[in-house]
Amino acid sequence: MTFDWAFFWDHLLTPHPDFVTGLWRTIWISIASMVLALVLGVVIALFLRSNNIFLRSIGNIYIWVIRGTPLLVQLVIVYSGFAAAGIYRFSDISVGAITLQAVIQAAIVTLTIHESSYIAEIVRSGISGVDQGQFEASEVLAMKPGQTMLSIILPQAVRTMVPPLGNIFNQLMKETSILSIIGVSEMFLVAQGFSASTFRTFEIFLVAAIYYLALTTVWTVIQGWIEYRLDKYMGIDPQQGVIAWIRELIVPRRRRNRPVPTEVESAPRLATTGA
Amino acid sequence: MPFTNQRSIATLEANDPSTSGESPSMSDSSDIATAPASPTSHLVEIENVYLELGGVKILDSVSLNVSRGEVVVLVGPSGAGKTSLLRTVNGLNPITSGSVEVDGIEVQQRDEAAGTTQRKLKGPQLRSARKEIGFVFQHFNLFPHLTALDNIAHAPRKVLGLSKEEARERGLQLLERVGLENRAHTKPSRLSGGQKQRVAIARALAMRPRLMLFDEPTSALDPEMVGEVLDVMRELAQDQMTMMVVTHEMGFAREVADRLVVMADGHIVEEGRPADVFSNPKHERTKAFFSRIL
Ligand SMILES: Nc1ncnc2c1ncn2[C@@H]1O[C@H](COP(=O)(O)OP(=O)(O)OP(=O)(O)O)[C@@H](O)[C@H]1O
Ligand SMILES: [Mg+2]
Repeated sequence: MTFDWAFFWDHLLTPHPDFVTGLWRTIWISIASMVLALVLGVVIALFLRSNNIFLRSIGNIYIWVIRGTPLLVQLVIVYSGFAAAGIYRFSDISVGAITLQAVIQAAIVTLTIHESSYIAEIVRSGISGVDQGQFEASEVLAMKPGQTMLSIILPQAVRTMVPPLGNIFNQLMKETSILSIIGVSEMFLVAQGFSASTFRTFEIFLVAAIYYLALTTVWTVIQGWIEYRLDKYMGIDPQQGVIAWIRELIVPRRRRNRPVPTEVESAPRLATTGA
Repeated sequence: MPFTNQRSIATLEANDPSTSGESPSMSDSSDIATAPASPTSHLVEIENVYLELGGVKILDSVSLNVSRGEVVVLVGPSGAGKTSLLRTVNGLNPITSGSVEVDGIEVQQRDEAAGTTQRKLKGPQLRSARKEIGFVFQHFNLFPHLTALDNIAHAPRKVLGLSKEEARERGLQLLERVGLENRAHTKPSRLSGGQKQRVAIARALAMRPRLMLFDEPTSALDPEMVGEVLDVMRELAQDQMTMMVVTHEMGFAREVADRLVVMADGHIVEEGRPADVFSNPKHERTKAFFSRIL
């Protein structure tokens, strides 16, 4: 086996500017798609919960179709298929000095659509997980359904939604490598270019793997921090101190059986301790 | 010139109370003018209400009127329909037939004879009726992500359109009234059961309701916390709040209630002054119920 250590360390520690550009592209495409997918996902989730059978059907069909087809196929349909059929052709958009390439637009649109179908299910079940008493308490205070959803239900649902949403984002960052197929020069495509020109395939893709791992690891830490803040927000005991929650990320003991935060639960427990 | 103007205003103001004081008929008529449009003195009118949930008959021909300032305590065995009756009063349970009016506003009305045509209040009307009705749940249903103060101030801001400052002011006053002014910034999870229920009462009062509904407000509490919640309710009754209270606290019923209503199997089986009903229950179901709990 030949493994060029010098080459490996060189590319790992002082990556080529193209590689860094690809890395940033991976990051910001992921973030932009996730944010948009969250918005679309919440809308679809509200469709799923609607009293209107028409909206409910739209939501269900959307999820059925999008989840039932591969991302790769969706990507090619959105970027090449639509253009070939004359439905829509993406073209570069320039705002001042910044140019948003056609492929990147198509990438973000596709990822948004794809992830939103998973997010909708997470949001829907997060909302149903909120205690019915919270809806009733809002109702008897004469709050409007929209106010109730935004100021009472969603803030509570977020706590149970964050772990599965975090997984979605973790997957999304790795799935961006698929974008190479339509020519988005994110990290994977850049690595492929290097590998073709240097024939150091193993070294180059090992470097790429380590960068992906770094991305998802950073995200795991951020997600842990978000969960910690949300626990405090919900008045649940979070892990004590920063050290403890970093340890918790590595050896998840408490997180495994953390209770779902509900008001009702505390009542019977109080009664039994009193007896 | 300005001097004489001021004097004429001053004399007008001085005259005003004296004239109304001299003629009692005038003050009477103004009282009537400020009274709500409802021709009756009843705040709550429940007429011939039937309620079915999931095909099961829950309330069977229930009629009950509650006067302004009256405290009605509802008792009865588990499954009698006490909770269901309270919930129909603010429209949480849609009735099968009959009518429910609060302060002259039809919260719900449904006529079985007229087929399925249902006269239910639309969202905005139902909400405006609900502003007048406070509801206190057995399990508090406080908003866990909001502090005690924000729990109370939230609806006045969102629903009544109070400014942040006004709502906060109102919230602090109510916290003081229920004895929790030092818990304003505490989240519900850090409150004891009794404290939670007092915040929940304050939250309902923040809407300045005309009617307060309590569904077993002390049933989920440790025995030592029951008193503090009943004290708050007793004070409310003294302040002439109209109240419908479902409770198993017979001491409270005896002392505070103007009327005791006994329910069983979806019916009102007996009602009267608490002392009379306790000492001389007429209906078999009432006797059976009392013999079990007293
Ligand atoms: N959503 C529902 N669907 C079907 N049946 C219901 C529903 N809610 C209540 N019931 C039934 O209606 C009956 C009356 O219930 P309700 O809760 O009003 O009784 P209650 O007098 O408040 O009893 P408790 O003292 O146990 O609270 C019960 O038999 C109950 O099982
Ligand atoms: Mg009940």
